[in-house]
Amino acid sequence: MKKFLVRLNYKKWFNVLRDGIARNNPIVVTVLGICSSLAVANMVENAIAMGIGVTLVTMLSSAFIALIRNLIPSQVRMVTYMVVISTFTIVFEMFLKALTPEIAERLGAYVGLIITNCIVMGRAEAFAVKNPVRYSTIDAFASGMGYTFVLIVMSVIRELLSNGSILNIQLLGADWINWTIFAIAPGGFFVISLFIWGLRVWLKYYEE
Amino acid sequence: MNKVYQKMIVFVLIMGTTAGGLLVGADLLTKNQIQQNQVTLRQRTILQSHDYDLSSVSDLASYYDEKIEVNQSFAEYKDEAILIYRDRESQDVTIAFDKRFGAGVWGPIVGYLTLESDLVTIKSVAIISQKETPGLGAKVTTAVFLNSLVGKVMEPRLVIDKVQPDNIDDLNYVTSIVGATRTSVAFQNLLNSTYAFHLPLLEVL
Amino acid sequence: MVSITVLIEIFIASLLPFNIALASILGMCPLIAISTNVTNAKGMGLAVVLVTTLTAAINWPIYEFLKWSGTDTLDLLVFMITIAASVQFLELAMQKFLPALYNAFGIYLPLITVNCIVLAVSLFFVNYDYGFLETVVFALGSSLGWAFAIVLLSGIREKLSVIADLPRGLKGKAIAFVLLGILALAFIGFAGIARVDPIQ
Repeated sequence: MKKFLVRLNYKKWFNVLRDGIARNNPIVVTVLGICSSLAVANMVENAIAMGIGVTLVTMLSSAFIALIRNLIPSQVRMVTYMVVISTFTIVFEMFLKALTPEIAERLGAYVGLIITNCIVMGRAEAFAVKNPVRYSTIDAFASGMGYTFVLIVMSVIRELLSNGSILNIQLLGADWINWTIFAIAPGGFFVISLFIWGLRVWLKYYEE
Repeated sequence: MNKVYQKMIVFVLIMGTTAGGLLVGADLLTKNQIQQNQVTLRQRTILQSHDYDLSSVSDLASYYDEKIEVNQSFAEYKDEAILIYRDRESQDVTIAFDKRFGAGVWGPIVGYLTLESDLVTIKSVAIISQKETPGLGAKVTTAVFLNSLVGKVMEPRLVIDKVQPDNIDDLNYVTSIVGATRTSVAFQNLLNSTYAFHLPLLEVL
Repeated sequence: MVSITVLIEIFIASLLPFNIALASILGMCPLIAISTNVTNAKGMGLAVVLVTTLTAAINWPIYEFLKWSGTDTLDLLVFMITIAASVQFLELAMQKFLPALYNAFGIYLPLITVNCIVLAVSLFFVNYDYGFLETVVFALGSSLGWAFAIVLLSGIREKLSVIADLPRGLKGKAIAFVLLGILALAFIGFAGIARVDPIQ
């Protein structure tokens, strides 16, 4: 077993996966994808929905961009990423609206947020355009998971304090007075800064 | 230099047309189903606003025609007709609010405002679509908030605010959603302007 | 024709109570990244104001055309293409005709393509159904509001890095978020002074 774990360290896909979640965690380390995470990570169910959405879109677009990476002229990289990402997301939303309108309605607000999410573009620019499809997909998955992890932890704290619940299941008693400030924007800022602090101390990654 | 630009332009054109083509294609494929879903959803929402139990209804469309009378006041206002839905038995009326009368914070809020036959008391408010902040503004769709509107009076105007102002009657006041002030204000303005627009049309009905 | 009071109200509303950085929480990525010193912040802010107002002015007639031809679904895609193209074009034009200005803040231009607020302003004018003048005024107010926020934040961060003894983990981005939170709280105080959708 130990030999297996040690050998794992040398596998590229494992490194890509681990880096995406920890060492290169999009929110904590590179501080990308903040806009949406602040707005959306107020309740756990939103965090999960957004996390899954971002992971899926990043995987699809990274895979596709890795596929056509040798064809993209360097001056139009940014435009290409945006077109690919937005086309995927909008087509996906259209099919959702046609086949499962209730889910599409719930997720409607996220579509715009996913398209402009820096993480999707960031992974495309930093990784997908220089690496083969399989590693790009793993990297996208790892970034998405790193993002989802941060989102879920933040939303657990915020939902618990501002609503007394997790996933809409009341956990704190009825006489808990909601600390609504954690549901709105400033609370999001405070929680994310504490989280970044904590994770950086743990990873010993400091910014001077 | 020229060759590089040529390649760039060709690439952009191909990409643009492919993406545009994909989007338009997906739009064409899904448009009918989306519209059908919309019609079904609207009919169901209107029937439920008038307290009809739909669990045993098999043919929604004919049940809808049987119970609801649809009056068209304008053929077109900002590209869409103005329709007023009236329950044949109770004479309660339903009017639609959408982006023609105001918007939410991040996108249009579409739904139905149902009034009792006295044309001022709210019987129910239903929201079909919105794009507000999930977990905050989106609480505008929760039963808790929408139920707080039932029984309130639209005349002279509905006030949704954090604290009830002194000069506003209890029947005109609804507490705004905690943490979602902007959405609450936008929704209040939307309801008021929709009502103000439809009132003369309702009175001649 | 839109009255001047409506335009002024939209401008003030987008600058203060509906400040796009501190109230709508958009444009965070570059806000956090570039607010390390005031000079950079001023350069970035200026560039953002220029690009946002320009692209809003370009996107409005384009959206009118899209509405007229019935292809609304393409709006997100088309907006982003115009934004990317305008930024690219602006960069080239500045490099050629205004080299001094380009040296001052030209390096920020590519970063603006991914600044959420440029797209957000276009999406907002669609949502609020603004006319052309209202769009321009709204874009100007919003981008100035963002520039205001980044300059404020960078001033505080600069000062803080000199006079405060922060824990290692808090230095940099983490403390920037705390400061932003406090600024956002402060801006809540502006609520209600003006509306982004004034009654006309």
